[in-house]
Amino acid sequence: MNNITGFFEKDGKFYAIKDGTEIIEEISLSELESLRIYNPVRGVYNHGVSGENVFPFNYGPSTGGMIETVDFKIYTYGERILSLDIITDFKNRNMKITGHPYQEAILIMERFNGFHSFSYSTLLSREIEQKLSMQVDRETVKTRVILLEIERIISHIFKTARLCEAASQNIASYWLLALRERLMRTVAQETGHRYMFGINTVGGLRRKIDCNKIVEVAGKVVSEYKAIIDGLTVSRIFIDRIENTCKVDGQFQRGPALRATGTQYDYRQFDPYYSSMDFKPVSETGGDSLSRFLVFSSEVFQSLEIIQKASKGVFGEYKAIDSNQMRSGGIETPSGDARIALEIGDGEITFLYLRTPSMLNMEAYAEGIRGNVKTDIPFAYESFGLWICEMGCIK
Amino acid sequence: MILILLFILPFLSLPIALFSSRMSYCFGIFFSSLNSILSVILMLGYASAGSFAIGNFSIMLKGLNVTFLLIISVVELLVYIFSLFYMPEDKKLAFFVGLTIASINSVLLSGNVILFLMFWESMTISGYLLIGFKDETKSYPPFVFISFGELSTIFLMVGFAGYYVSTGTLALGASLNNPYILMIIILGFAFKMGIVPLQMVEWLPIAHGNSPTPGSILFSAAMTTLALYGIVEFILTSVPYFVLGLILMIIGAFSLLFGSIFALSSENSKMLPAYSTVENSGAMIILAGLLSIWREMNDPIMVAFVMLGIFVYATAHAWAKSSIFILSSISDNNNLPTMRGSGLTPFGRVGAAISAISLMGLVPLGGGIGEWLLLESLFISSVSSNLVFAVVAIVSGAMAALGAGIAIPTFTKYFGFITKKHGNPESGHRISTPMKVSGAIMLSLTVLAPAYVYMYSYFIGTLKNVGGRTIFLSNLKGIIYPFLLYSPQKQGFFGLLSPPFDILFIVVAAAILSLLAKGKERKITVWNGGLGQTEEVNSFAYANTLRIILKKVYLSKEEREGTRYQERTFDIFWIIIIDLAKLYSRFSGKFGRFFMNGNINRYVQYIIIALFIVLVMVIL
Amino acid sequence: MRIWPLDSLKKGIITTKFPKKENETISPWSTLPKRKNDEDVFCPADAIGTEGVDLKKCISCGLCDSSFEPSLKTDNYSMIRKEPALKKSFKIFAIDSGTCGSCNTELHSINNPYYDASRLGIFFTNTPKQADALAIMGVYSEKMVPVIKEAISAMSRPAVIILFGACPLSGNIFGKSLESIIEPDLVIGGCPPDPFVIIEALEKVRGRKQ
Repeated sequence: MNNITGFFEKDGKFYAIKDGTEIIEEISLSELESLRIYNPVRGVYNHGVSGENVFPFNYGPSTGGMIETVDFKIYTYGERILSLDIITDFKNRNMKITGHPYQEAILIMERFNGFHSFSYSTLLSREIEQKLSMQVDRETVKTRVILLEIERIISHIFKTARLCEAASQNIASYWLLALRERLMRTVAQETGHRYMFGINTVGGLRRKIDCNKIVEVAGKVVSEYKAIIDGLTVSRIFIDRIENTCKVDGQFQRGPALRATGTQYDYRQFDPYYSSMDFKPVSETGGDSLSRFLVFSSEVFQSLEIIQKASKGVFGEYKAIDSNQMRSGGIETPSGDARIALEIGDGEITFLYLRTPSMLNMEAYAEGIRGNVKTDIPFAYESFGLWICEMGCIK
Repeated sequence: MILILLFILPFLSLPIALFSSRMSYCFGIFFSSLNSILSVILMLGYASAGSFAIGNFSIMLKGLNVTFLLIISVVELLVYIFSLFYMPEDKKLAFFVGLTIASINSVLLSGNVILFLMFWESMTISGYLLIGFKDETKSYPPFVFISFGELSTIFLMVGFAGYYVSTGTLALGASLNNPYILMIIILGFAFKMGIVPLQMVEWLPIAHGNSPTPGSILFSAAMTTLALYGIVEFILTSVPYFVLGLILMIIGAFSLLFGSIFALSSENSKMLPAYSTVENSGAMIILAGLLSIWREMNDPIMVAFVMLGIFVYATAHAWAKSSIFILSSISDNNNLPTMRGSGLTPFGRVGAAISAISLMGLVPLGGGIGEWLLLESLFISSVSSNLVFAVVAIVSGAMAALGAGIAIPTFTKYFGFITKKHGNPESGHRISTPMKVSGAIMLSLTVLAPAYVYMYSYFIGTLKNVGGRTIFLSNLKGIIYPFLLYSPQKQGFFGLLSPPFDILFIVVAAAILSLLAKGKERKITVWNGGLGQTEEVNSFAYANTLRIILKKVYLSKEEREGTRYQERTFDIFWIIIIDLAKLYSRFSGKFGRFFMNGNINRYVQYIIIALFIVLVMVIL
Repeated sequence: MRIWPLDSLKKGIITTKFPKKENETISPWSTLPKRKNDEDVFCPADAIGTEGVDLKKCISCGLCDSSFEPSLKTDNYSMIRKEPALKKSFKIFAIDSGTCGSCNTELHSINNPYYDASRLGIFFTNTPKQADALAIMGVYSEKMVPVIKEAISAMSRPAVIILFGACPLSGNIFGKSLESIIEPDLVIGGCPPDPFVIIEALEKVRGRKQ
């Protein structure tokens, strides 16, 4: 499995990042332009169509229905979505990490996507550690794995809540939000911040974190989450709305959206932090919103298992491979794998490229929503776990 | 004497039209007003016109056709007013309009079947000429019109022959006791009304034939009403027959439902009201069926009630439909999604709204009263002791209610998109006066509802075969005497309605509200997610939800060519007929090449005119 | 089959009594840090001045923990003007000008069962036309400026404008602030602000809390 999942330009040359390997290969521009992911990786989601009576219906950029600012141009002749333009650059922040020292770079990276901040800060600090050939102690690895999985649980619970809200399952939605709040309060007590800002640093963690309380609360939260999921999966109202909605067959999307189409690909399989876990990805075959819901809800239970294993188990010393060659690390954020290409020098970052899962999942969403009706938009959108803040624009 | 004058006056407008179209329209306004006033006087019993005959030439103005004269005269009045304001210069058009109207009036006044048939045929031909006289007209729409018109004539001819054999007289009003002959005659009329599956009789010539608006009005409002007159006349005079009534109810219910479904998806400003005519014809055929059944059941009160329903429904439909067709000429482009042209004055807009709401079948406007009478008759029938009748009444009642429900978004869409503000104020200005007149006439149906009900009920009492006079007006709970309309039950009232009080309540409430809110309005721009207002939903998108839901009925197809999309809907019955026609033309093409090789259109005209001449010769 | 309303009744009441009673918990570093010793310390956001920590600049990173500790107080906001007309009902429309997503979810989390802001008459709305308050979050973004201006002009009066979080107040550590184009009635600090802080600040700007 070596399909190209990202590319970047550096010094006039193009490099391609591939699935399942850290090695970066040079690629020609013409080859790039023929790729399916050429436009989405550049942040372009134009699929405009024309025709008799077809008009673009505007939704956004600032509406109450979306969490973030995003503008959809829905091409339709009434009710059925023929195609979709997505304009994500309304909240373009032009973040610049290059030129900043490591600690500041990590602080900025945390604010790249606050919702998945720990994944991104871990990705960056681990990459810097790699470059510096720094040794990280086993306690740090253990805490990082636990917090990564906690973040995944929080994110998936939130996604489920949004999906329930879209499907008018309000009791379930509020219950799930309460569960998330409970877990976040515990995280805040133990780590000092609800979104785990300011924890990661190069070579370890900035605060002393006792994970026992978090693991205990996570266990209770997940068992309650299971009760809700059991209720939702037998609810015809809920299932009818997400079944066959936004079917995607492509193979370029990331994370739960990819695993919902039957592909067993999860970056945690290659992640050295998880090497002692004997990790097996969850997958479903439908490719629709229901399959994505089933994938991420079972990932919550899987994450709890990982957390419990990690809190008991012993981790080996994590020693970075010494390599000066340009390579691309990655991490499985709750929405899918993010890939990074990094160069450092003189105590600061000199080059950064980041390919986030939302870049590709947004394209998958635009592809899948075609032919659905307008009321399907929220069910489809929330099932992907898309974050506009991670739509590129970071250097 | 007055009768001969009535017969001759419309024909007088023809020579006038050769000199001045404006004059002929003014003359038309004169005699159609005269006709309507006269028919009111006749209905109230202050005078009687009786009949007149020389040999086979026999005309009459007594019984049923008095009411229909009122309905059709007002339609003609609107046609003339519209033509006078909209296109006063076209002499050719004035001539054909005059010819069609003269034929329509003559059909109405005919006293025997031969005269009836002759003028029926002349009406078909003049209608054909009205569609086909423009050079740019495609050849097939008038062709379709004439071929189905001839189908109607053939059925009528056969039916009338049977009528003569069965009753031994040519005069109208004899008691026909053969249900099969009655059925053939009724079908002959019903084909002209555009019943399902032959609804293309209505929409095709109107929408595809670019027929001038006066033509559309006459096809859709006057000819349909005339066909209804034929059906009711024969049902009322013949021996009643139960199964025939059931068949008519079922045919009517299907026409009603399909007509309203297809109307909603129409994107042509003339096709939509034409489909709505199919829907309304369906409703009137249901009422005709009910009339037959209640006559057989010997319930004079219900017969009178159903007759009242037919009169009110036909009145409201014909007048409102004329008004809507006048509205449709607001733009020379017939495509609703790309329609341009407005500038309707506020009062003109009110007139248009009244007609549109009336066609939605909403109380207290005329169409709503008609709809109420239809549904009440069906509800009363559904508690009948005859199980089959009750079941058919419930089923057709459900279909009627569904169809009436769909009519609401249909005319919301129609009114909303056709009066949308755009450039080109000129055409809007030209139809403002006709809109005001038609709106006022429509509003009279509500405000003067008790007067109409009284007049119709009183007149129904004088008709042969009805069996008694019942005035369906009452008083109850503070509503003073004539303002409450009721539907009968064995004991007491079944349902009640008071249109004048409804409209009074609406007007007073609106006035109070607008007084209270005066000066407090705040104008802000539309919130479009923070962007300026960009695009507008078009009428196609408005109705597309139903197109998606009823995919099987519409045979809607999404066509895609690269990034170009198109969705098309089809009239399923029309497709079947086209397929049949293709099969037939493949056969007849081979056959025809041996015998004839001229212009098929001209050839058909020639045949029909020859037929007409033969008929005239037979009479003389 | 699950009967959702029954299940939710079984959960009992978890909603806080705040602001009548003390807050149960708070995200420590989202509150304003207070000095515990006199050591000089590096602040990436340059928020530490002679009078203490500037709430507009503090990005809640906790890098100053060698000489500062979290105050754990809910006073991480400052009010410029209050609008007592909004005492009874208060509808918020949130505009995201360039956030990381956490301010958006934090603002909406005041609606979750633990906080349940609707008990105080605070609601969210889907259009600024119905809004009493505009919560603007995130750093300056070129394309969002006309959107924000249009939203402000579409609002009915009286209304308040809230700058929410460190990003619009100081531009955080990577962007530009929004203060140059917007005159706020209330600013709420923190990166992101804690829900308790948000609730107290909103109650105060409505004139319900002195």
